[in-house]
Amino acid sequence: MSATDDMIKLMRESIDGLRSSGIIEKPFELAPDIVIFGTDSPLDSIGFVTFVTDMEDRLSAATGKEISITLLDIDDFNESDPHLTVKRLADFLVRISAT
Amino acid sequence: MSAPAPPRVLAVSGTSRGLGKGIAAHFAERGWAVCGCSRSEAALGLANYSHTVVDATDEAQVRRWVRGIKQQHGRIDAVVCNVGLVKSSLLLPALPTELFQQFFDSSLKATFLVCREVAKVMMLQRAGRIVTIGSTMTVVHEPGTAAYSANKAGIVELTKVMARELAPQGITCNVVSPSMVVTEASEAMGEDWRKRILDLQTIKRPVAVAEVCNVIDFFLAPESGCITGQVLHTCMVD
Repeated sequence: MSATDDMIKLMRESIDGLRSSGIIEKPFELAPDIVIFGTDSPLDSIGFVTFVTDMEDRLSAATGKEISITLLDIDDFNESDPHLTVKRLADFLVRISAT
Repeated sequence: MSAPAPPRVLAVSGTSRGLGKGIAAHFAERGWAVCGCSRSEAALGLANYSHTVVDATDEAQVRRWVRGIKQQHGRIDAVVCNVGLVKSSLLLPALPTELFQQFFDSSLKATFLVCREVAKVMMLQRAGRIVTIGSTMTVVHEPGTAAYSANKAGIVELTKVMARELAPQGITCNVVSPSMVVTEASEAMGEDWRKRILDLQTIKRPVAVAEVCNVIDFFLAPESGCITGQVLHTCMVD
């Protein structure tokens, strides 16, 4: 398994946890090519922010480092027209976890 | 016999002196686990008070402080974001940019950083109370307070927007807007200044820290879960 696959697995655990606690209501499959932030995302804006916050917690615990996810640090991320797939976010999280 | 409920956890910024110190002591004495911070060391002499040296204008330090509270206690039930600079200023044409920046950093920016990091924790627990500290100066528009009042007004707007954003997560956000409080800072401003400011108030006396804590008590009470986005002034008709 690649580092990106491992990260997507961690993201699935986060989504599952948020769903079981009722924070995210709609069930969906976290496939690498689905849009997680932007038009057609299964998460609304508050759901996405909560997911990112939970991932910060999980990555900080897993790496022992202070992980802060800043979407504007993602290459070519357009805050006016966000379009972020699961794989692209996973690649970014792998990168910031390694630095 | 069931175990006693763990104490509710309160984060308070700016606890080395003045209003923040009074707020921390008030809630620690009432059984809350109080986690305070300030730029300098501080001790209240209470077992359920812990202190961290934090520059609230520094993003990384604020994040570390908030995550530390979560790691230690597992949750944050409430935050009182008491930050900011209380000092005399100048009329706008003579106001140095550096002084305006000091007010911005220590007041609006620090409030934003503390609220953002605490809100992340509260969103995941789907509950929480956020209280920010405004000022009645925002409704009297007193000359010489442009930097102070503009940033306090910014805190009010920040809090109202947060209140709308976070309401679905069970988090309330309100502003305590004190008039002149009896603290070292207000004492240091001099008698002429005190008299001039008191003349602007509806009730023309300084308030005690305990009276401000009473308002915070109200916002943190379990029965106040339906109150959000509100600004509560002391001694002032808005």
